[in-house]
Amino acid sequence: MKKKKTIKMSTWNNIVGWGFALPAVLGFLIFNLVPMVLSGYYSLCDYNIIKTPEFVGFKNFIALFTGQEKTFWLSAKATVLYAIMAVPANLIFAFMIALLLNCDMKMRAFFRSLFYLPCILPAVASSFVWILLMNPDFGLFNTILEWLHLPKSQFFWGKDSVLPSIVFMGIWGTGSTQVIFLAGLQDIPSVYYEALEIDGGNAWHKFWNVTLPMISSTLFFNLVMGIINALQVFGQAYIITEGGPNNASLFYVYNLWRQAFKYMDMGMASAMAWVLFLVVLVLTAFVFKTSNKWVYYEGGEE
Amino acid sequence: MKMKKLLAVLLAGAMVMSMAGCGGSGGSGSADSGSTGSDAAADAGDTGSSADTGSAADTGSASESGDVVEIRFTEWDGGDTLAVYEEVAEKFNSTHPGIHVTVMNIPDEYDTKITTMIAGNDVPEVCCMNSDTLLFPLAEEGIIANLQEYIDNDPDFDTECVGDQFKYMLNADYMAGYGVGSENITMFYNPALFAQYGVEEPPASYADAWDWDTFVENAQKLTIDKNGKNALDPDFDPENIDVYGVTISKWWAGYMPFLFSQGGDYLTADGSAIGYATPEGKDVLQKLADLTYVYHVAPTPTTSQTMPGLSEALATNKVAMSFDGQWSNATLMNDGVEYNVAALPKMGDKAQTVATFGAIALMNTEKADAAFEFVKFMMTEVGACEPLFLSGLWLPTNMKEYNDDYIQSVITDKHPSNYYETIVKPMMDGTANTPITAYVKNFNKINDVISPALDDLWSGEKTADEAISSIEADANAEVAGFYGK
Repeated sequence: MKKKKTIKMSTWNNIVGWGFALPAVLGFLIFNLVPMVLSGYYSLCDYNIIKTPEFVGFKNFIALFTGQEKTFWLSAKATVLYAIMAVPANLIFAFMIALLLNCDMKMRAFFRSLFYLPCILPAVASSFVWILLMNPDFGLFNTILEWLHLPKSQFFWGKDSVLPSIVFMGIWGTGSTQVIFLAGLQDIPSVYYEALEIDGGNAWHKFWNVTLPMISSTLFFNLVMGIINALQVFGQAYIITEGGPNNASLFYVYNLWRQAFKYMDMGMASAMAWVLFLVVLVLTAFVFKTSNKWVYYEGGEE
Repeated sequence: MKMKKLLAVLLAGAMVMSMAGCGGSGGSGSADSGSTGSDAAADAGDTGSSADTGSAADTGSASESGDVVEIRFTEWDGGDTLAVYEEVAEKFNSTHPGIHVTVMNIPDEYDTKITTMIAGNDVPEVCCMNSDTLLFPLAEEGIIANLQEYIDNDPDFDTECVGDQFKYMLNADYMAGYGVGSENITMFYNPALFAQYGVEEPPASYADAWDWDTFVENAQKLTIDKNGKNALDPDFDPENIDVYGVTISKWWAGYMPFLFSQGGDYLTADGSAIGYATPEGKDVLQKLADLTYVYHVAPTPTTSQTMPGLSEALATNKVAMSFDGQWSNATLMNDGVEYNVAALPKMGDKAQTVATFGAIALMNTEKADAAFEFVKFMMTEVGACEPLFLSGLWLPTNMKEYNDDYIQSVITDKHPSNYYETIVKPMMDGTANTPITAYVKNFNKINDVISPALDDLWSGEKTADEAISSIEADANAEVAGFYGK
């Protein structure tokens, strides 16, 4: 009798456990896995939503890689260029702000909210503010540049300046990265700093020998997320530039969206999604691989 | 530990997919506010209609077995246009007891939603359609019914109402849709500036339209720098222009009137190559670009980004002439701006313009017979959309509404004095060409190859020849001929 009850108990626990996990598991299965598998199938089809998908093998992928679909490499190039600029810029800026916000100062809570604020603004609203700021004729930035006797820029409307402009605009919205950094910084026990002070270390030593190693796991997380986010940049192209001027900001996901919902070519769009997925997967795996060398986990094996 | 890492990589991968999903919906969300913002008037009507939508879908399925056939009519316009559609539906419902039409307003991502509904086997019975995207592909699949067949089989149908120029023909026999709310590209001008600088006002009738050189010279006289010198003055300062002679609209409908005027078309006559790559096509584009970089009478793309809307630009004397859509009359009239309209100048022998209009399509559903009654009502009921004619937003597509008595009755005191001559008449005498989206196959893809290349032309970095040559082969690769014009 007693024995039976314990078995029942563990089964019951399992049921309860799975019961609680079920929404998440089902959510993953229904909203992630199934669409993924489906899009994997569609990527091998001619499919425009209206017709039934028609299996064509690797035709879509071949069209993409051989340049039959002209915009594929254009958009891949624009996105990689953007990522190369945006990932370090966002990380460095967010980290610097987090360091500042971690200092003891007056109105710290106020500043912390202030720097997080851009994250809760709707993308469209903030985009329009940036459009005004970067206006080549009467925008604030060019007014300042002119006042400083520096060359003016075309910002979003110049082929060479559009990507840096979008990166610059993106830096402003790194509030959540800052918050994660801040959490990491606050996790560093003050004993390390105190020990270093006793040894006669200065601020630089504190930063280089304590802060940086201790924050490396947070940095690692933000780096992975930053790469993923940068490769999926979409909103700015959709709202501000529409891929222009002359396709300079035709981002990969924007191009994907255009294939799917403007040209109704779901097969091609699915193929593009899978290419992106694999690229992100490989990049992430690569970053994880290198992480042994530079990420320090407190209480970790190494 | 290893297991953990593997799991982490997999999770990161999964995250990409889910984020791609989020990104998509986030994008469409933001698009919402963007496009409704552009049509400020639309907002007012939207909230009411979205409530309607929900109930319409419900009753639609519930009362299918009842006596009343529920018809859904989808469209994307908000504001006044939506109100008029609802009025039309009400009028129709009160005269057709067996049928009930509900207007279903889809303000954003229209094509996506229609496509999804079709994929979900829930096809709305009557739809407004974008001719450059869904209309023809859906007709090819038989999802849009052949309107011609229904018209032929209905002895009561008044065919005098139907104008050839408003038909969307998939091929010679298959009518995929019929125009609704026609408009055309025209010239708006500010008479006060013409009087101030002693320039003769542009002619109202296309028969007397200015030739290009006359137009350019007058535009130069009307382009004034901050020292009060005009663009013909040797000391003119192109860096500091106060009043621009002209603004042009940079999309296909903005260029096509001039290409038509030179005897060209979007595709070459055999439908095998793009028309811009012909000598005439390049000449049209170069002449338009020269307005900015040779004659300094039109703003650069960056400056036009920051120009105020047409109403304000005309009212504050920022611009003397503007090539824009006739629908702008609605805003200008509403704002009480002092302005007039005139014929577009000609680059070739004959002045031309181009019309634009949406399509109303009958979907191939079980209720198509009842739905056709509503399409018929829209096509033949004189004055159905009258408030929109009165406001200056639309022109009729019902040929009976072009009858002199009727059309004069919807031109009010608020309409500019040249309205009939400049805007209405071209729709009847063929000066306003059928929109190219009605007969060019694969238009959207061709256009997306050409437009980015033109950025370099409008920014002054390339000549028309260089810009078009750089994409001629790519664009021609997308060319797929004509639909049954």
